Amino acid sequence: MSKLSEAEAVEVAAAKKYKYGFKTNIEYEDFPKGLNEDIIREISKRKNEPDFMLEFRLKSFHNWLAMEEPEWPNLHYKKPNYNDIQYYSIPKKKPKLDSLDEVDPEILETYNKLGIPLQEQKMLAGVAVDAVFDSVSVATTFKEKLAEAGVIFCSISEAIQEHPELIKKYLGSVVPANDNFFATLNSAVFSDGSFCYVPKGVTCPMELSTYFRINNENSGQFERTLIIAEEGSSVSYLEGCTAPMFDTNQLHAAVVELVALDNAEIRYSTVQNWYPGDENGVGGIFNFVTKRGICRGVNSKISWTQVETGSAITWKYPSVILKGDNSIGEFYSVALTNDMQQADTGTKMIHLGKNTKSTIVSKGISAGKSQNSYRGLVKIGKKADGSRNYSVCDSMLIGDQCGAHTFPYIESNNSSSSVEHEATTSKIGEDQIFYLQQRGLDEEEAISLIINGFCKEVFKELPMEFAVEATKLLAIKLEGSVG
Amino acid sequence: MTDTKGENKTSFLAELLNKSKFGADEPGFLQKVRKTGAERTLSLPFPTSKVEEWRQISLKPLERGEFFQAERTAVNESEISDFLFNESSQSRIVLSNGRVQDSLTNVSGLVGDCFAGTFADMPDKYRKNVEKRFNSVAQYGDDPFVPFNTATFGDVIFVYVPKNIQEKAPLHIMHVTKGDATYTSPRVFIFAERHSDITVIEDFIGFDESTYFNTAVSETVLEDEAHVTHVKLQRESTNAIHISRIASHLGRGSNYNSYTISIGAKLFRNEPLALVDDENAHATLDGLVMLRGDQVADTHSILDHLKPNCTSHQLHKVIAHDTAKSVFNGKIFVRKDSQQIDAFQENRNLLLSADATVFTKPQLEIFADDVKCSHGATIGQLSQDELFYLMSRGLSQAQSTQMLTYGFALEVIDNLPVESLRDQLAVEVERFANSVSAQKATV
Repeated sequence: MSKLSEAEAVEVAAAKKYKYGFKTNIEYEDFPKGLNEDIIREISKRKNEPDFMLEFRLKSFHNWLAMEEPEWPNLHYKKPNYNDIQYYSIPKKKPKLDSLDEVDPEILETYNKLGIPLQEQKMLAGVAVDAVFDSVSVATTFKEKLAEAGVIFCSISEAIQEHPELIKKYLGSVVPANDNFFATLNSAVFSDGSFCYVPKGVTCPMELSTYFRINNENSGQFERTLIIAEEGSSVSYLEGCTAPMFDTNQLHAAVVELVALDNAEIRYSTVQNWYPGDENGVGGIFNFVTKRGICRGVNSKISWTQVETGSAITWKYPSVILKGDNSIGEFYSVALTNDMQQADTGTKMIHLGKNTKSTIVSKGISAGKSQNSYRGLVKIGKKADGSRNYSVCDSMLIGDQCGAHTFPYIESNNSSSSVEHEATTSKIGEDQIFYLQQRGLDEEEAISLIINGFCKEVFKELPMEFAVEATKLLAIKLEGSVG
Repeated sequence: MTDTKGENKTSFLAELLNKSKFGADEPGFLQKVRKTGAERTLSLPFPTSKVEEWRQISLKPLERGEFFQAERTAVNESEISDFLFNESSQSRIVLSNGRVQDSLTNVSGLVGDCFAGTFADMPDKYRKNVEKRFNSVAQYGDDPFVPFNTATFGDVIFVYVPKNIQEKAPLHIMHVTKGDATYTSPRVFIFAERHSDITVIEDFIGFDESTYFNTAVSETVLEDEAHVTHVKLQRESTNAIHISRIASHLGRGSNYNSYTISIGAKLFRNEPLALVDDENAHATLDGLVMLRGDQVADTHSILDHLKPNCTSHQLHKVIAHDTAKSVFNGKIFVRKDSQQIDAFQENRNLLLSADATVFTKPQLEIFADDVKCSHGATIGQLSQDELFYLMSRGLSQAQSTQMLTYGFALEVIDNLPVESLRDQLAVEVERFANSVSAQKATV
C-alpha cells in the first residue's frame, strides 16, 4: 500500500462518509450557494456557453420562480431548501486507490454478488486500472468505431460548443423550459450530461452507455441528456449501472429528451441504484427525473426500460408523445422499494398520430415499510384514429408494513381506438415458496426466483448483461426482508 | 393527497343556503342535524377544477344557474304511471319536490314491524338507533354537497328493518321533481338490523326539459349479517343537475349490493361510498351509465376495506354517444392489517361517437400484503368482428349495432333483483340502442 498524501486521506475519509449520511462538508471550487440570476450567468460563463444557452437558462429560471413544488405525488419528504444548494461544482475526481484492498469490504461483497468482473470492480470503486483494462483506451476504441458510423456521442457541454445548431434545434423541444418544477430547475442550472446524434439511416454499431463515455466524471446532480435519432436510424442507450452509487448530493433532478424522426428507433434502458438511505429512512437520494421522448416521425419507435431499485424518493415518469402516424411507444418497468423507500413512478403515453400503439408493463415490488406507487396516463387524442394501448401493472407486496398503489389515468377522445388497462396486487405466493423450499431452495432463494419470474417480462427487454445483473440486484435488495 | 384548495369567495352553496327557509315545526333531532349541516356547508369551499377530485368536470353550469328552494307541489298518478313497478304496489313512497305525497304513497305491504316513512311517524323504539347513526356515514373529506343536503333536506325517508325480518317486496322510493330553477335535497336513511333483508329502489324522476338541481344523499347502515340491495335509478330531466352520495356502512357478515343506473340529467355526479367495517362482509358497487347529447356524467366511488376477510366487486359500465363525456374514478382502499381481502373492479367504456370523451382512473391503494386486488379498465368501440358476424347472419348494420349495444348494457341490468325493473330498463336500453343505431345508419 502506498502512502496517501494528507489531502487524499481526508478525501478518502469523506468518501466513506457518503454511505452513511449526507453531512458532507467537501469543499468545491469556490462557488457561492444559492440560486439567482447572477449564479445562472456565472454557470453559463464558466462553461463558456453561447448566448442562446444563457437565454435558455434564464428563461427557465424565471419560469421556475413562478412554479410551486408539486404536492400531488404520493410521496412524503422534507422539501429541499433550493437556496442552500451549490449549483455549480467541478465534480471532484474520485480518490484514486491503489488496490481493491482499500475499498470498503461491504461494497466489494456487493460487487461480487452482482458478478461484476474484477477489472470493472476496480473501475467502479475508483481504483487505478492497469494497462490491460484502461478505460481511456477502451473508450477511445469505442469513439473511433462510432465516428466511423457518423454517430456523435459526447457530453452535452461538448455538444453545446461543437454542435450548437443541433442543441439549438432540439434542446427543450421535448421537455420545454416551463414543463414542470424539477425539469425547469434542471433547464436553468444543468451541469452536464450526454448527447447523442445518430445520422440518417445509421444503425448505431454498439450499445451506448454513459459508463464508457470518455469524460466519465460524475455528471452531477442536474444531469441533462439529449438523444436524436434521424430518419431511419436506430440506437440503444444504457444509463446507470447495477453497482450501488453513492453521491454527496441529496437532490437529483435530471432531464432526458429523446427525439425520433421518421422510421427511427430509440431504446433507452436505465438501471438505477442510488443510495436509498438506511433502514430508518435517514439519508438517501431524492431522485426527481423528467424523461420524455417524442416519436416525431412516422413509424418511429421509442422504448423505455427501467429497473428502479435505489433512491429514498423516486419521482419519475418516462413518457412518449406519439405524434407521427404508426409510431410506437413502450414502457417496461420494475420498481422495487424496501425499508423506508418511496417511489411514485409510471409513464405517460400521449397518442396524437393515427394508428399509434403503446404498451405499458409495470411491475412494482414493495417490501419493508416502503410505499410504491404506479402513476400513469394514457391519453388518446381526437385525431389518433385506430390507436391502441395495452397496460398491465402488477404489484407484489412482501411483508405487511408496506403499501402498493396504482393511479392510472386513462383518457380517450376517439371512438376508433381502444385502451385496455389491468392491474393486480397480491402477496408473494406462499404455495410457490413452499414448493421451492420443498425442492431444496432456502427461503431467500425461493423468493428471489419468484421475483425474477414476476419481473421477467421487463428483464427480457434489457440488454443481456444488464438483465443478468439486474436479476442479482433484486435478490440483493430483498435480502433480509423476509422472515 | 392534499387537494384542499378552493376559492375564497362565498361558496355557491352557502349563498343558496342563505336564501332558503325551513319550517320550525320539524322534530328537534332533525333541526339539530340540519344545523350542523349548515355550519359545515358554510365552512367548506366550493370545489373547482383545480381540486383533483373535481378536475375533469366543470360545475360552472351549476354556478351560473339561479336556483330557488322547490315549493310544495303535487304529481298526478298519470304522470308517474310509466315508472311504477308491480312488485311495489303496496310498498311505495312518492315524494314530490322533496315532500311526501300521501295520496300516492302506500306502504301497507311492508311486513311486520318494518317501517318506511318520515321521522315523525316512526315508532319510538327505533329512535335510538336512528338518532345514533343518521348522518354518520355519508360525510367524506371536504365534500360540501353532503352537508348542504343535510342543511336543506325536505322530508327525510327513514327505512327501518328490525332483526330477522326479511322484507320480500322491494321498497320503491320515488323522488319526483317538478318545476324550473328549483333545487331539492332528497335524503334517505336505511337501517337494517341484525339478520334482516330488504331491497330499496330509489328512483329520481324529472319531466321534459325542466332545469333544476338536486343533491341526493342516501345512507345505509347494515348490522351483522344484514342484507341490503340498493338500486338507484337516475332518470332526471335532460336539463337537470344531479349530485349525489350513496353511502353504506357494513357490519360483520353483512352483504350490501348497490346498483346505480343513470340515464338522465345534463350534469350528473355520483359518489358511492362503502365502508366495509367488519369481517366477512361483502360489498357490490355496480353501475351503468348511458349518455347521449352533451350529457356529462361523473362517478367517483370509494370502497374502503377497513377490516380483514372481506370481498368486494365493482362493475362500472359506460356507453357514451354524441358529444357526451364520462368520468370514472374508482378508489379501492385496503387498510393496514386488513388481510385476506379479495377486491375486484372493472370499468368498461363504450365510445360510440367520434366526439364522445371518456376519462377513467381506477385506483388501488393497498396497505396490507395478504390480499388479492385487481382492476381492469377498457375504452373501446363495438367490435368489428362481432358486427361482421351479425351482419353475415342477415342483420342490418343498424340492427347489429343495436343488439351489441344492448348486450353491453345488459350485463349490469341482469343482476337487478326486481323483474319489472329489469323489464323497464331493458326497454330503456333498447330505446337508447335504437336511437344510436338509427343515427349511425343515417351517417
